[in-house]
Amino acid sequence: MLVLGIETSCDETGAAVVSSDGTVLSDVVESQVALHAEWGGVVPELASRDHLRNTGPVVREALAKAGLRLDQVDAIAVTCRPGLVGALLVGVQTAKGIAWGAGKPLVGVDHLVGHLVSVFLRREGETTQEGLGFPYVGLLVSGGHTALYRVEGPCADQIHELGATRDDAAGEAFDKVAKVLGLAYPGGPRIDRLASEGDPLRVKLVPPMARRGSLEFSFSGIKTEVARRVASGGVPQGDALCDLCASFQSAVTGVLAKKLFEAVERERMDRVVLGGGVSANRELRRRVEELGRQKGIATLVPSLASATDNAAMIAYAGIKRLERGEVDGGDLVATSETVLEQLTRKGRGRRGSSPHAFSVPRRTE
Amino acid sequence: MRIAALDTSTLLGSVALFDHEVLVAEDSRRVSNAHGEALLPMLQGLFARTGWSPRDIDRWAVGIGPGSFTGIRIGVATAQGIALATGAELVGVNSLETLAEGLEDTTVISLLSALRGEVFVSVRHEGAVVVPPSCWSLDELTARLEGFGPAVAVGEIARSVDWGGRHLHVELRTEPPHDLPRASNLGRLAFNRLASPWLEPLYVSAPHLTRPAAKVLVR
Repeated sequence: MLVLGIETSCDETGAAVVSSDGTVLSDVVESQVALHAEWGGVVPELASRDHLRNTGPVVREALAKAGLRLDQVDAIAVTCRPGLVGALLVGVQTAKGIAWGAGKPLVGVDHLVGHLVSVFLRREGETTQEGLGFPYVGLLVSGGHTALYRVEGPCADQIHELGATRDDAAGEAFDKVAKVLGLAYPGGPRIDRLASEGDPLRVKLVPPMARRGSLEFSFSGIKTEVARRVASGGVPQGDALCDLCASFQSAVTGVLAKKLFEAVERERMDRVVLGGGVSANRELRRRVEELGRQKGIATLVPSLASATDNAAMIAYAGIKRLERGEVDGGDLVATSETVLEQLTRKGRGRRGSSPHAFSVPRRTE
Repeated sequence: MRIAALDTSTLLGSVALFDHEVLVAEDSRRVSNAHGEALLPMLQGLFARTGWSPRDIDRWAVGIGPGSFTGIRIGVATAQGIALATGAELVGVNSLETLAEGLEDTTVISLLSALRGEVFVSVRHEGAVVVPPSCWSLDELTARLEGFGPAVAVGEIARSVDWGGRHLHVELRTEPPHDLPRASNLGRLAFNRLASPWLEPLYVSAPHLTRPAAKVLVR
């Protein structure tokens, strides 16, 4: 089965052709990073306008690179959730038009499911990673999401959240800290580079929510801590900047890796899989691979092109829905919420059985 | 030539099919902001009724606004997807022009709601466009049109304008098909237009963007 995938949930317009075994025949990504850079983040209306301009050319290029005509493709898969609704709508409507015009089946795909199965993609020159299969504990870390899942299969009803961030996504914390430090957007790769030249022990930052027992995360506190340091001491320069980046990155990746393996222990799994843009972070990869080796757990990390937003993972997740006989109709809607069950309550305040568990959090600023 | 026309630039979802300038079928519904889920089922219904298939269409005529940014994009994206699959031509039509189609009056003021107390407006006088598509507040509208001779105003938002305040002699024509842009009017305009390989919406007003104030993370 050959499926054309379309992805427009945030700031990348993507189209790809993928076959049932995960072979990527083509994968085209048109990034809007430059468009949004001046605003310091993604501006939804600008993103939607740009997607509309790019979807047609990107889809044509994906077909051309795969050496296929549209009638040689078996179905169309499109990201329909979660994401910026206006941006998603452009992809969803384009996909519906293509599917109806060409008489092909259409499936909507949850973007998070795409990330969690992206490790199954095989690009040119790549071979299937050893030990790949279900089930596994998936760590999805990106600019929009940070969560741990028990992944029993490639479809949404086989994926169960174990814990997620209560506030900022890890990638969001990277971007915001970079902004405070005067680094350009997107900040993740820049912090990664500076951190590699710094000493993480010279600045003391407490790893957020690192205690055992909870698989939930919180990254807004450490971001504020960095901002507080900058507010009192100014933006550090030279080695001091590298040291602060190293300390911040070490705290964030340390917590991510630690909780990933706590989840593995709790769920009695023998493999972990990463997904999402932050899985490109070199320190996170190194920590996960190291812990995996120590504990005898297979660690599977998608290539950079598969980890960041792309349409190939959407096509692949779509194939898995189609193989179960699932299709969507012309009334497929775009929504901002994931279809995956969510356990983690967002926002501050106490959790658990305390009588205050559901009280409105007090503002203390 | 077979033409399929659609407009989703306002709360009205409207689709129509033409065979050699003859209107064959039309469906218009007030779908509010649910164009995404409504448009394709409406098209499928119309094609089922006529027994046509998407490949029978030579040209897709699409309302490109001004109007709801999201609504316009839904229509444009859908039509571009269909055209990509079938090889049909694309023609974009201004929704203010669609609204005034069929009227022979000397001066026609076309109006569509732009929300936030503003309107999209264009004015045609003796067949020529004298006010190109613009976005004005209601006060600005009556102030700028002061001195215009007797005119006809189309678009249901025209009923909410205080025309008397500035002694403007305006006759309202806000009944269908001049209430909101309808595909039956739009399709008629699309026969003699040049086709384009893609469609660019006529947004008219810039997106409402505000630069974030330097946010104080720490006090």
